[in-house]
Amino acid sequence: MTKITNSISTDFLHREKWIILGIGSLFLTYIILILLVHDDSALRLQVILNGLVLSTIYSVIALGFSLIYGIAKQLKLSLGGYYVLAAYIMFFFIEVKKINTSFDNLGNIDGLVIFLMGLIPFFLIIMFAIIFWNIFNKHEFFYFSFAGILTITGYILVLFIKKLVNEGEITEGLFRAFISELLTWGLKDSLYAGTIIFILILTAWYLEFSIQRIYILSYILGILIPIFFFLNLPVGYLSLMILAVSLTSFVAMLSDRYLLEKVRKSHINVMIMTFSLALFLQSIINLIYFPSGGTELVSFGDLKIGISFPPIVPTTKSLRIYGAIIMEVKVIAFFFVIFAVILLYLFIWKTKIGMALRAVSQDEEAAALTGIDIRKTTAIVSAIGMGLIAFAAVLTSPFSAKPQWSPGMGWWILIMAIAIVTLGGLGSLPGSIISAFIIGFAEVIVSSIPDISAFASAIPLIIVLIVMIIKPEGLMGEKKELEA
Amino acid sequence: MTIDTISESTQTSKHVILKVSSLSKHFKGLKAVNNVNLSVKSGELIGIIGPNGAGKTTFFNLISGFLKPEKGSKIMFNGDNIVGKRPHKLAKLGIARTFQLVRPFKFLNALENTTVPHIPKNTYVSSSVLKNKATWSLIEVDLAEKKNYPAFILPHGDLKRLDFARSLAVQPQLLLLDEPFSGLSHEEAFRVERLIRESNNKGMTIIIVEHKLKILMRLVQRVFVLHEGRLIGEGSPQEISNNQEVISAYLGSEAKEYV
Amino acid sequence: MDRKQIAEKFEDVWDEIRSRSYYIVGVLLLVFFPFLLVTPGSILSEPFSILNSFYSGGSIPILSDLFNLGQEIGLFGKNAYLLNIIALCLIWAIFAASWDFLSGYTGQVSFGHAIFWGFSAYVTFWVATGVPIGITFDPLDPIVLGIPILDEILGSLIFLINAFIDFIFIITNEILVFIFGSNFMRPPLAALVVGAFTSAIFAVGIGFIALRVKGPYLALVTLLLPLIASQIVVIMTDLFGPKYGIPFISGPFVVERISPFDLPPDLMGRASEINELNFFIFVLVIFFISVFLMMLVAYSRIGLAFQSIREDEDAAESLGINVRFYKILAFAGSAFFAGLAGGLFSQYLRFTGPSFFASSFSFSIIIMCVIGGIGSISGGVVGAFVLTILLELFLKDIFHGVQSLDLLGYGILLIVTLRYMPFGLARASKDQKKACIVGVLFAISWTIIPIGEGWGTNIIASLSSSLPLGTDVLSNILSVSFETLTSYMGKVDYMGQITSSLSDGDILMTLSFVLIFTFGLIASVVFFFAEIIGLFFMGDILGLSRSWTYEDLIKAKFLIYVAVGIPFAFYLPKAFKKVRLRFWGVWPSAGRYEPD
Repeated sequence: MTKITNSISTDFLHREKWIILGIGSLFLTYIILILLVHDDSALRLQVILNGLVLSTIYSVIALGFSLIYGIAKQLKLSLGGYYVLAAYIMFFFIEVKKINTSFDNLGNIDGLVIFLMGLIPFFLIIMFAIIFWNIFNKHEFFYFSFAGILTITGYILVLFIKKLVNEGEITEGLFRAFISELLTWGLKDSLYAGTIIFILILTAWYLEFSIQRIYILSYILGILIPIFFFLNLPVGYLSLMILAVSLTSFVAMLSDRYLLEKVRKSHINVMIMTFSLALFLQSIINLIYFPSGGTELVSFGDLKIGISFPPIVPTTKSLRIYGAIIMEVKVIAFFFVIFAVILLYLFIWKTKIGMALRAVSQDEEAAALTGIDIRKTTAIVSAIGMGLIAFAAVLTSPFSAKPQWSPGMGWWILIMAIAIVTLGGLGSLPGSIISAFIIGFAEVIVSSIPDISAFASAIPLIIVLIVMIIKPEGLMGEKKELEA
Repeated sequence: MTIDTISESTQTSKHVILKVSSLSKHFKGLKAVNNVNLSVKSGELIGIIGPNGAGKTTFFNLISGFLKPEKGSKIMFNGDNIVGKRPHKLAKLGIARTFQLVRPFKFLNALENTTVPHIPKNTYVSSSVLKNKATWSLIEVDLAEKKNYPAFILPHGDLKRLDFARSLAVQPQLLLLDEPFSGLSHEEAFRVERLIRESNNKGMTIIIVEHKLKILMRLVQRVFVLHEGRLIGEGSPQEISNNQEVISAYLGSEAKEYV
Repeated sequence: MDRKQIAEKFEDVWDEIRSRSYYIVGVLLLVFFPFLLVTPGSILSEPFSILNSFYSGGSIPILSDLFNLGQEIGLFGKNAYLLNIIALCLIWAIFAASWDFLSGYTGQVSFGHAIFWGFSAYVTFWVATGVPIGITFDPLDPIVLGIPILDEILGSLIFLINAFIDFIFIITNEILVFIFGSNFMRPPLAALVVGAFTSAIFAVGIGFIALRVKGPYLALVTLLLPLIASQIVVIMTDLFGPKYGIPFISGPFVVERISPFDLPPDLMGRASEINELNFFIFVLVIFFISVFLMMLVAYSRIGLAFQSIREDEDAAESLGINVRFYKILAFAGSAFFAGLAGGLFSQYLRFTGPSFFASSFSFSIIIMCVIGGIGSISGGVVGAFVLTILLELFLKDIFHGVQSLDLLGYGILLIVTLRYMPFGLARASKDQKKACIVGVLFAISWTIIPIGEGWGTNIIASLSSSLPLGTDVLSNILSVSFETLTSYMGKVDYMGQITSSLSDGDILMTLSFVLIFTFGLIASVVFFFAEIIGLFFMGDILGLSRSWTYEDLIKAKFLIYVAVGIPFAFYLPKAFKKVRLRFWGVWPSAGRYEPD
């Protein structure tokens, strides 16, 4: 047996050597191109930074797609749909936050709808309370509720403290200002912050963490959130983001569980079903947001909403780094994405559920025989995969949506995901990341050269075509020998 | 005269129909087939045995054109080197095979299944004649009553015979059967055995890979033994069951019982 | 032959006809459809050819009354508009059938079939109007990178590409001039056929790529191909025209008497009206020929070879089937017909552009085939008809101006179909098919009956003032039904005018009444509530009723009735059987055994 393993490993490295050399020389060409074409070092840095950002975004999208294929063996073309869904949910939450929940506009149906929308955070908390009541026993229920209450009160307390620090002394004006801020956004933000705790608890419970661990996690986070708020970190935004991502993941999980039942056996049917789901999502969003057609968004009562560059990202400032201009939000996205990928790695390689996922990806039947619930695993992996997409959407859609931010922006994302995953090899996670970098940098470099910048959006597609002709299984995919 | 002696007596001075030299196939460092040399005379009934993983199915895949062997391998069929030719060309030349796991055309009925192999050779033939030929293929294996049944509802034994019928329809000179007796009851196995003998009597060269040694050893004239990709034994069933290496690699101590 | 043999033969023939009854009805409807429209006084009663005079000879009594009734209700648009819609249905039907020809039979699923139809659209346009080619042609501009060596290399490369493209076009021009004569402006039929053939040749190239990838990988690659094509088209504007597409300056079927086989005399400044009837006949003939050819191949041994590839490629190959050849053949054949459809579509729109490569076209036909039934040519046709009629006739008006509503309708329909009829309409169980037809009949009945002047305006009024719909409706239904009933008795037609003879519309009304009152109270209650809830949802919650006219309201109601009627028609017999069993025991039904 040792004879075989030795011969396998040396041959493997021998084969991979060429691919590694190839990739390395490709990147070397990139560097040479950048150095040659642009003389200005600021421009060079710009290209590199843009490339980095775009590549990381592409890699997270490709990871989501590849993960679902690798583990559940489904090519889910609903990627674009969830991207759009997440972005619009985020948009919705941010707009809803601005709504003034006063009782005056209750006169007609529109007013009623607006009023109800303003009460969304309360509905969320009630919903969680009901779910928790049904899942947990009294003991646990109170423990968890307490964690949540801790967060909420902590948040409000910090709000008060901030006002105090501002004013300097306790006056009646202070109280009035505090109460008014609390009523307009403070309470709602605190409730959203509380929902993070509850979402985390539910996820941990679903993933079968031990109850002690869940307690610890919830209390740690419960205390951390007010502290973050104290440190002026955008907790409100963060909680909305987590909410949007988890809602999208939840929808993905439900659709996987209930819609894909009958068609699970056939690849092609899954593809047809999922892209029709994407169509459906896109048109529903279209219907809700553009009921009168055209490009005017819906208006919630007096609240008119414009369309270009919707404010679903936390800042719109730009930073200057050695002459290169980069948007702050891109930098944030970059670090967040790296954090998410590390988290993903830890999850898949260091946890029990991750091991179950890996088992299912290797041999579904054998995994089922060892007691792993395949349907649950498929649902989890859909949730994670689409969660990654939702994550990318929430952070980056205003500046990376093509051709513009609209309900149709999901299709280009899907195309990019397919292109990247095809290049990298369909079942391989490191392959997706590497090819995301290859394509991302190619796109950025080409678009920085003035004469051929029009070809920038065609580059990924042409690369895919070439790959299909030369090496259909991608860089790191498995070559399919005939089974006979 | 038994059936065996009939086939033995037809085995005089026939030409070599298949000659394999230096046949090798490597999979990422694993030598699935390692420098195999053998030759088969026309009209022979040959068996190939060996433990699992010995390379028997790979061997079939190489001969039937589904895998490309390593450089330097030679497969001569009727004197021509067929390395690199695609399976359908080989079917035209006269090599047919069945697969280890039955592979019917699931959603077509039995008649349509047997019509398919008749299509390439009968382009200018009317469809009723084509249908007759297909029906005859089914009759040969006793499946005629089930001709309108979709293949997915047929039981395993019928599917084995359907596979056989399809490969017979190609009218091959060389037939490769991959585990034709697996999963069959005693009676079904007997039927298949009879079909094999009949086809061999008509002059077809048949190579069988099989694990059911009792049936195989009394059916075939010569046996090749593969182990870890190499040919470790060759000869009549008698000789093989006395071969020490073969016994230790595969047959075990009850070797005598198989002959 | 003795009597028994004759009887058996007759049985066989009768069985064949019965199993094809749906086809036959469909074909008859299509062919005789324009009769409904060519009533005296309609705009289409100008004979231009044998076919046209055939159609304008007279009109079929009952059917044209049925049609007029539909028009009065507002279910259809104007005469000519409806012809256009059916023509569009036919075009989609050819396209969908071509996809099924490839993917349903050989199993090579293509998610980018739009590439063939877009390609053919461009070629058809060029051949029909003549593309300007010559010395001034310069598709790629030089690219300057600023680095001497690279610039030189790139420069020469671009020069070579330009020269090559020039060369191809000059050669093609010469060939076409040789075949068709010096005038490049070709009649529409020839242009169409050339487009289809070039599309097929192009598909052979694509087929070679397809050989290298299998299954879902193929689907992904084909998804990307039209996008690559559209990018190339958009970038190379000198060659392909502007980004938004090129309008046909000439309509191939103009109002004057031009047949598809004549040369259009001049192309500039034509009146851009299409003679809908002529176009319809043109499309109908091409449709029949295409479907006939496709079925011919699909049900032949070639079709069997295709299916064997779908089932098990390796087994097929080992049995002697040259899989590669058949795969490419399938691609080419499918592309040919897709090309026909594409050329027709571009002539219908009188426009060609990169938008033809849009994924929505590729997806639409897949949905049509899935709904109609994969693996059968007629599945695609049925699906195309259902979907196109749904979209064009109903959804466009109900959802005024909402973008991408085709996707909404298709998406919902697809999800519903995959859940209940996973193999499509063509393969649905007999019960399901019957339920669909009966459901639609129910819907028509319920839409026709409670019509009266007062009711419609009341509904509109109540919608616009956002009052709940319920209260008025019930009283209106009852009063109006009574009204119509009395009017029928007194030989007053439904618009209030006195007729002296029993017109066929009355027959229809009677039938509708019978149908409804047979199922009595249950049906009324079900439909009533469905209507209230549905209209409330669409009107108030989705806010669609603000842009509705009276006809749109009727269309919305019709859709609601269909959506409710089909499940109703499906479950009603089962419920009835249960009730019958419970109260009367098993009903002896003339010797036929009906297992539950």
